[in-house]
Amino acid sequence: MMRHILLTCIFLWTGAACAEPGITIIANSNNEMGALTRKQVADIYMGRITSLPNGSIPLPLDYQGDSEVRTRFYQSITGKNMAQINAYWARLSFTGQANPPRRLADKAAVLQVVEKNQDAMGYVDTLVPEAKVAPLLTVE
Amino acid sequence: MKLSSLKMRLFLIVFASTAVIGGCTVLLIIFIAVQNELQESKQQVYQLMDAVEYSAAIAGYSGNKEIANDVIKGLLRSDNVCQARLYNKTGLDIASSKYTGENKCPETIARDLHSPFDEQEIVGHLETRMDNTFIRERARREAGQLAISLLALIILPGLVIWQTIARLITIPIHYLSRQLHQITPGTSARIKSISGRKEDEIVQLAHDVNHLLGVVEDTLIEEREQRLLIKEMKQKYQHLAHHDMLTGLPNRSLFADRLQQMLAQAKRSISHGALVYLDLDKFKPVNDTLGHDVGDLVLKEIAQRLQTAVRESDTVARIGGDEFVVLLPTIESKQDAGTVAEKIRHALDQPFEIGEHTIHIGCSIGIAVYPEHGDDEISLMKNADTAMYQAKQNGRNNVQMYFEGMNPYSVAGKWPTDTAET
Repeated sequence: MMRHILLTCIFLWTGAACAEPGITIIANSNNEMGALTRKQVADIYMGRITSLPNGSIPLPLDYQGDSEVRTRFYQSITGKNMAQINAYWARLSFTGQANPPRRLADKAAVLQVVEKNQDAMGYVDTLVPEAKVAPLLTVE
Repeated sequence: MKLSSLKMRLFLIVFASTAVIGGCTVLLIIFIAVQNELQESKQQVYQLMDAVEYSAAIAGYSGNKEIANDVIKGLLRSDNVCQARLYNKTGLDIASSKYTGENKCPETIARDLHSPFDEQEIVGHLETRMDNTFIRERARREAGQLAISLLALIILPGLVIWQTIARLITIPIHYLSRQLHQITPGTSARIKSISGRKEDEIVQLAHDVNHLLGVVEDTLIEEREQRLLIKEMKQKYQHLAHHDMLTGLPNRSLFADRLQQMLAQAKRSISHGALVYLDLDKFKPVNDTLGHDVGDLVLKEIAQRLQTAVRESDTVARIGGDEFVVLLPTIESKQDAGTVAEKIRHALDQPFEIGEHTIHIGCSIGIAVYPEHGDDEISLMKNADTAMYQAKQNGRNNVQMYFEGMNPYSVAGKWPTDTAET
């Protein structure tokens, strides 16, 4: 399997996608957010945006543990590493007025919640075609 | 102590300059201290803001009032901050101040807060106002304490300098000056030098002043002696000018004065005065035969006898070689003058014993009385002279009183015998 990917990458030298697989931010298929910018995603995940223009409260979903995809996600949208993100939340949640995104076990759990909850959003490394979710933004 | 005295002036100068230097130093220290303190406090506020900036940025980014409150409280905990404010566009605005009412803190330090996740985005503003009043007061208090110790450090040398100068210069000079002030130059008084003092300028000064006093004393003594000498000589020459050197009797010049005086006196008091003119009868032969030494001795004896014959108030004068006059300023009448003249004639008629010689002289006397025989010097003299020649003509050794009509030509000494009257 690894050898296969490697070979593909060598053949498709110019394709950046091969260097690192992208991360796709997803939402419920009935969401009213439309396309989001990287900054809007960051503001939602970092607790700055707590309500949407239509009055709904966004429900960002996260993963437990410092997984590779999680590190890449935060690095990509905030430019910070996990330690910095944790420190940020430690400070903010100490006040009791803000909470970090809900953390689920794995991709399957995230997909399940996003499929069910209209205000939920999450991120995945590779998006399987059969999932009934709407992609909002893909970042490297 | 007088204000103009050296010691007082020195004291004033030393302490005035100490006070001025000390005052300027203290003001300068306080000024510099306040400036430094303000600068340093500003630096501290900057550092404080650096320290809370990240928290403030998070508060600004997330709109979290709790964090914002913590930041503001933290800032106000510093003495240097009197007011702090954290705000953003989305409704967060936390501010707190130590003072209410008037704004005591005009100086604002502000900075923009950047998003923790996007350096480009400004998510709020943090403002602090420095408590300049408090900082200044603190600086002044601290500088004041420093200034007091510094002032002591300045005053102490001032005292030492004043004392040193006083001991070295002013007190000795005062001591010498007071002594010198009481000394009268020319006396034997001298300055007592300062005991136990090294041979410096002031001791030298005392020595030199004493030397000068010595010179002045010597000079004054010498001068006093010379003045005395001059006075004596003056008296001597004045006497010589008015007296006959041989007999010591008034000479013609002094006689003229006395005559004038007598007339003035007589005119005022309407009294009488007589002029007795006498010429020695046989004096020339004495000089010729026995010599001038004997003649001189005879003249001296004559003077003696004349003075003995008259009163103290009368004047006997020698006006020529063998001519004498006697002024009688206070007589009652012509007869008195005649009596005195007769006494004189008698006195000179007695023989003179000079050594082994017995000499007969004798005299002829003429009298003129004021105011009867003239009321001025010239007429009195002339008339007395006339009367004297009359006496000569009458055979010498007799007294003649002038009278009106007595031949005046007899004065010339070549009167004819037929015109002579008695």
